[in-house]
Amino acid sequence: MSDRKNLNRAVSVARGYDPYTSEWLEHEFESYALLREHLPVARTEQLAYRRQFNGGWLLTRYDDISACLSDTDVFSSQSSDYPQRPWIPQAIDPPSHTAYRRIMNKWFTPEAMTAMEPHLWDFAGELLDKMLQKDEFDFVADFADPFPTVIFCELFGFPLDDYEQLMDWKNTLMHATDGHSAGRALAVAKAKELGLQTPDEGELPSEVAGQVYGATAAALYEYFGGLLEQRREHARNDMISQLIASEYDGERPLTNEELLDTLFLMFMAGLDTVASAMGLIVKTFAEQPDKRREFIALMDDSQKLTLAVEELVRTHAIVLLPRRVTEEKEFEGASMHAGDQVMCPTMAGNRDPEQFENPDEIIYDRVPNRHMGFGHGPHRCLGIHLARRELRIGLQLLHQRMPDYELHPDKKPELFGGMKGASSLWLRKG
Amino acid sequence: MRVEIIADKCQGHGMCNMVCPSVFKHDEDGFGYVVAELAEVPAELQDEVRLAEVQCPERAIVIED
Ligand code: HEM
Repeated sequence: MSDRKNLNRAVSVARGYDPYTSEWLEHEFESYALLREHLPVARTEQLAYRRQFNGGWLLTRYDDISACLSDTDVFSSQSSDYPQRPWIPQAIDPPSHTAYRRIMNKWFTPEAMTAMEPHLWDFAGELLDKMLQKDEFDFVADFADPFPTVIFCELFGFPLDDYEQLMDWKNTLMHATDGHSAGRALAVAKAKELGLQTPDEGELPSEVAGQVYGATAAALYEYFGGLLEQRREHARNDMISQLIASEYDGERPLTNEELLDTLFLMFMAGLDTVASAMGLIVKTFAEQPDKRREFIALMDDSQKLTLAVEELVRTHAIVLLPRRVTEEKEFEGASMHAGDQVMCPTMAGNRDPEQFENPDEIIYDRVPNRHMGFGHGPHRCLGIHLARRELRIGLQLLHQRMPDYELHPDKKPELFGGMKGASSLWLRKG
Repeated sequence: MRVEIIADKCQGHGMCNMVCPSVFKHDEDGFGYVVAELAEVPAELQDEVRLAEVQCPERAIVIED
């Protein structure tokens, strides 16, 4: 196709950019490649965060995304509207961001996460024992979801007695309109409860989705308020109690609002991410048995496993990172205005051929591999050391116990977009 | 071979610590540092240190041969 046509196609792709839909997911990587080649800083009115005020820009080149994520003065993380206030630390810019991160970084060090490994092995083993009594099972429901989520609840201090409720809130908040059928069903139920009209099928209208979101977030804030009360009365050995006892810059305790905004963000960041990555990786392994066997052959070598897990995170990046332009800015020839949104899809940066040779291929010993799957710049993932260990241990143990499997012939995987993942992945032992 | 972490660039991804834990550690705040006695890198660790350098997502590791 001529370059001019390709440019026109790229303009159209940007115009219709909607990474939440299954149509987008079907052509995701080709679309990002087309944009990267022909329109790497693409104007789009259609923004990924749907309750967004301004139109903005879609970046697809590795260097542009990393420049954007590193320049927190021009590209602010306070980039959306928030149920109450910007959540902490993900929507806060330095210098406050640095102060909040300093509180939590020390709880998530590699050493602290290594100390959890025996427990990770035990719990993964327990879940797999149960799952593998069956010949066919939903890997997401039986393993990818509960493994990291229960671990995170224990560590952070979300009560496991409320696990089902927390998962329902999470799915309502994050998956009402992205192809996740349980999320949609929960959102519809919530909409009915609020007396709103909902269609039987298809997308929830955005006003309805917005109200459901607001009401669910309000319920969660209330729940977190109660949790903070309880921990103030009886501190426990968990991060919520430590957070209450922490000081901002060694000057003052965190306010109740700051505590709530932190709990809200940790809830969103800790409950879904590893589950999503693991679901997508195992889907690839079910579809590409050669890649699975290659992984199994290397996984007992610790150094090779380290590189392989990074490569799997690179090729299965799940996160879209929004930023907001704070001042007039000339960026790679594009004139950006204050208030514009800039979308940085890590899955696009991670497949830039200028940075990664044969970007679409899984190359387990890829070197260099400076991927941005865990983010880039000051907001790099707080849970990175936990996430890596969960992926290592989960994938290793799964394949020790079950080296052969395939997708269930009748039950198709269900994927969701935006912050990508699999909401159901039926497998059959091979 | 000497190795150094540029503190301004390091964001604490921890890749260096994953591939070469004897040379690269983390401080309390989660950022990387080079163990002082190993900044002059012994021969048997040089391959790992080079790997750490090329894998660092923030290009924060500098090697001088
Ligand atoms: C494979 C799993 C994971 C992936 C791919 C992932 C990815 C990311 C990315 C790309 C960011 C950058 C956000 C931004 O720049 O705005 C981030 C931030 C964050 N992640 Fe993760 N994450 C994962 C697991 C976890 C886990 C298990 C936790 C739980 C502790 C966690 C907690 C956080 C927090 C709190 C932030 C905000 C950091 C900040 O703004 O300073 N993540 N993550």
